[in-house]
Amino acid sequence: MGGFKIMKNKKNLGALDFEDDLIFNSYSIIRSEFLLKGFKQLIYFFIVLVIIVIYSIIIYPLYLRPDNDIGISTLQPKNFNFTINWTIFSIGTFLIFYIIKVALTRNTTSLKEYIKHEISSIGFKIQQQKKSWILFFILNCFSILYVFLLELELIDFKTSTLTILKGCLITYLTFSLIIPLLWLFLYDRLAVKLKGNYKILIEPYFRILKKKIKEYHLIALYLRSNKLAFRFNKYKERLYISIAENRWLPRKKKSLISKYGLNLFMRFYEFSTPLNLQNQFLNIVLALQDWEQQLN
Amino acid sequence: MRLSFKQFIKKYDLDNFQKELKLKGQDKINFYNDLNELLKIICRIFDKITTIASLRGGLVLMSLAKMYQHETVITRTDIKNCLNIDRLEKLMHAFDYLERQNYINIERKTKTFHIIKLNDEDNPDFKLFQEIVKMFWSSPEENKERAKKWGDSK
Repeated sequence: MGGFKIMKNKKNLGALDFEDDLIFNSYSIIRSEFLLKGFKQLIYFFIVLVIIVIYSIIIYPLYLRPDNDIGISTLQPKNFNFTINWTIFSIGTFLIFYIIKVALTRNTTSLKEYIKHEISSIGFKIQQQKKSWILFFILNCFSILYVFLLELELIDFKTSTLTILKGCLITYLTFSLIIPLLWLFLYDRLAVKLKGNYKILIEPYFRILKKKIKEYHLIALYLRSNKLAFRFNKYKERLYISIAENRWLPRKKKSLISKYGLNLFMRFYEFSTPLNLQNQFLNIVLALQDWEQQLN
Repeated sequence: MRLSFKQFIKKYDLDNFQKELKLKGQDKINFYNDLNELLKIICRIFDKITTIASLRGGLVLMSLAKMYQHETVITRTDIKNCLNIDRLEKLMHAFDYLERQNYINIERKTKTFHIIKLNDEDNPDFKLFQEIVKMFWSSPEENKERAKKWGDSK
């Protein structure tokens, strides 16, 4: 818990007000920021795409085209085609998904500032989690190294005993890309670290397409705690239900996984709007406190 | 299992005016604890109703509690009428909020015909809430009728 931190009221923050009819102005500001952000991300997306296309259509064929008597290209950087291809492919794929994620996430500058201000005024510090980048960097460094060693022929899979190792390597290459992507979509959110492993993730949501109905401009903030316990632990489940009931916390998340009981872990969920964020946030924090106290 | 108001009355025979209420020892402690529990729930209801971030969310919840019985069908229009609101659009925000908050369940039969149910399974405090609302709250529709009757009478 990061103590009480007074933040400056930024210019954007002043524009947001969720009292009564002012919500429509705030909604318009947030929506236009979101669209602008989406447009910027679209440009980045095309830049990455153009780099990949230029590499695969123009540069890569140059390596393959023989331009001397030996029959190979002098432009070819030794024999490291696979390493270069893998590096460009993995970084390109991650960047594309990252851009898509950033474009789709409803975190806009002023909304983020508003949330930060609300949370910091009750003594907590909020941060944008970007662990997927670290994860991607570490896993990808190793995967590039593997591919590099393979091309240097320092690792050789010709003998049949090493077939399993080869399978492991292919699996590793796949997972080195999938794990950071999953992490990116599941955990890289606005997060408030509480005590020990306890934390709360915040995800804003609002409709992008304007509705004909004027009153219908709900800006939602979904709060989610960390994993509390395994779902099949009956004692903990009873405790979880009792706390959730006492604090009126919604227990069923409307995802397919939760709907069909496939969610293996229990978490506290809370729903809020910008106006009652402090209350709802404290409600889920105190639910976590109840959980810790009653468990010990 | 939450104690309801009716169960509380029945448990201590509070509506039996022939019988004298005498509580001693453990019974008195139980009575105090039960009363305390009821007050705690009422306070929680106050707290939650006041933090519903929709202008009419609390009213929708109250009108639903007033009309709700397990086998009755309550539509959005019933609530609109109960609250004396001219357009359904004014309640859309509240329905959405309450559904996301898991306070109500909405069965969307057709595009316009939606059945609304109070989610008292996940929120057991709603049982007491319903009892109190049913007994003591008069809806804007009822108030309008009463005012109209009073105005019509000579």
